[in-house]
Amino acid sequence: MSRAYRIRVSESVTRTVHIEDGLSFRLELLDVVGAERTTALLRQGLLDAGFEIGEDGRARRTKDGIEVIVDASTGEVEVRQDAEATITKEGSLSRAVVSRERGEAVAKAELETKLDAQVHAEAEALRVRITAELERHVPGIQSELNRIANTVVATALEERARELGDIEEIQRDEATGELLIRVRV
Amino acid sequence: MGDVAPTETRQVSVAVPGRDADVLDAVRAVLGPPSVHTARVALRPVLSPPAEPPSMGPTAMGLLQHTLRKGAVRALVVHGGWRVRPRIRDETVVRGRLWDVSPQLELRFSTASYRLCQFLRGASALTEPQTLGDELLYLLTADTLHRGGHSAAALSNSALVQLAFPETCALDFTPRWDTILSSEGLRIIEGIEDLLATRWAAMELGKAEPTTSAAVQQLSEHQRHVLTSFLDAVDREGCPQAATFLVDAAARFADRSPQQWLEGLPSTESLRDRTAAAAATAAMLGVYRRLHTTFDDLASVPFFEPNYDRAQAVLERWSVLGRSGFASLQHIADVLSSGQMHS
Repeated sequence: MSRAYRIRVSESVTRTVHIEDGLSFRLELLDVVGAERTTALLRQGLLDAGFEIGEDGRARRTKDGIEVIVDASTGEVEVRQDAEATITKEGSLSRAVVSRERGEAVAKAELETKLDAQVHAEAEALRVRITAELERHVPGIQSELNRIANTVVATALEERARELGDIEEIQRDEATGELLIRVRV
Repeated sequence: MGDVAPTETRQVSVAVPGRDADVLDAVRAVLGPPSVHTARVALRPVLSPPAEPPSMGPTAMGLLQHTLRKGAVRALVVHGGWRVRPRIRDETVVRGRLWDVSPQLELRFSTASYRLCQFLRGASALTEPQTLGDELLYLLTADTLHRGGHSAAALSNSALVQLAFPETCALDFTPRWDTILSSEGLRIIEGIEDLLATRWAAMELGKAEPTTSAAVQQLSEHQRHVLTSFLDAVDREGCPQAATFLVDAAARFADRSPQQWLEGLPSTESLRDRTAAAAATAAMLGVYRRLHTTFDDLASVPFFEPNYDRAQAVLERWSVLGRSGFASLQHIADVLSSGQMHS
């Protein structure tokens, strides 16, 4: 007759998790003065808003942990937030077993699975927090970039109007974004 | 489907074996009045087929043919045939109900339908629908299964099932629409327009119900695949009236705001996943731009052109959505694809 043992295993797992979320969209830019000039105007607008131009030619800015990357030549925008966290989980498990060695191995594997699930749950909770934070900031970022894009289009229209003749009057409606330029040709 | 002469009603009792009665019950669930309870109970064995496929006796076979004959006509009447509508027949437009305009409509059922009936009670082998009658029975079966909470995937070799349940059509499969876009097929579509419109409206409105980004993205990709293929065929055959159910469906959701569209997605899902679901939905709605173009093309047909009446008949049906509705769909697609629906 086999003897039953009661064993207790303790385990600790430490995992470094990388969490990321983000979204992409495209700025609406009218091509009034040619692609090259539009790109230059957008770059300038982004520099004025605190962006820096990277080696890859894309404008970047990190604020409140949120990175905004704008490709001025295409109008593609990427907004992302990421975080790295080290999560440690500890636990113990006791089981009645017949074979001590085998029982310990099984219990240890079971405990590791349980702790990994806890790590995963905590990482997911962190990801949800990041998503909520990002979602809170995204409307403001989109409004700011839309304003910059509108300014680029308005400046481009002014430049184009100057090529046509003397500008007599410019009226801007900030609420609707309407722009009226009177030109004497 | 001509005038029906008054007939004497008689109750006749016939006896069929229990297995045959089961098949007849299942077929009646498909062809009878819609009922979730009937769909659940009568079609339950589809999910757990018995080991031995049943066979049918001659009496039951006679009853089956009788049920198919009456049930198919009933389905075409209730799902769109009863409406008084302008209907295109060859070069002319005739206004009326389906049976007034197409009294000689013939429906044939091949062995594929018989196998489908057996499938409803356990036989696992289904063959490809051969006739319009088969297509119709496949569609009605898929609809009944769906209402009963079952998947219609097993019936995915039917073009009508793919059209009504695009999730059953694999993305690498090119559906064939030649049968249902034939002149007889177009009449069948007229008889099931309401069912198709309800399905397409339900699919879109369902995206606002509690769901997941992955489910919305997957459904939208299948919808887009089927819709693109179907509209390609409609353009090739020059039968825009076949796409009227899509316009009827769109009229039920075009007035929603882009923000309402995906409000069923959990806020705990990542923005990336939700944006991908929005983009897939936008791409699907973008296909409606083709119908808008067709609408404008039809509106520009001058009155002295021979196809003027046909163009006006389609425009009359599509006016339920109209230019403003098409513009609204475009706006929704633009906002959803811009990734700016959070503003």
